[in-house]
Amino acid sequence: MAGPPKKRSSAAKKERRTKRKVCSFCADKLPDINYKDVPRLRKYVSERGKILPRRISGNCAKHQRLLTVAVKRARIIAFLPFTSE
Amino acid sequence: MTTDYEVTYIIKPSLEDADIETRVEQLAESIRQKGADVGEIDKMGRRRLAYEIDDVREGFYVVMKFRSDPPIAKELERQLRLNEDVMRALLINLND
Repeated sequence: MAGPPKKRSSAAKKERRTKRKVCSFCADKLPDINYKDVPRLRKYVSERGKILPRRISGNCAKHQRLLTVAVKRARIIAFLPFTSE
Repeated sequence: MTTDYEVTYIIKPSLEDADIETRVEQLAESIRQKGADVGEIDKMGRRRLAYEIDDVREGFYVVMKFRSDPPIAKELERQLRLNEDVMRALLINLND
């Protein structure tokens, strides 16, 4: 008797979590992710300057890969900080 | 076998604008002589750096596109690193 309600509640929880974000790079159909596009890259780094994980940014694997390269290039050329604070 | 490259470098902001201009031209000319095909040169101008480099918080950004054989690009990168007026340089292969 205690089984079914429990199951339902955990299923409900799961459903809430699977609200899938759409990769914003796929949506915008940009040809590449440019390391000079600072305002855009800014959205994908934390306040500390770390690159946000996919589970937070909602990017697809392909674009996340390209994004990390772009952010790292931007850091080399001082468009983005390696670290802040 | 030529490759498309893009090089971004930061010149010390303490230099006069006219001096920066000549230096940018010199660098472009140095690879042109070796057979590189220099494309667009975008002088983005003075910008704030995201972090301090050599006690400076600002730099003059230049982006240059060119097409050449890989050794020419490598040599340009080396020259930029040796150049005292260049604070940072980033060479990128546009083909991959």
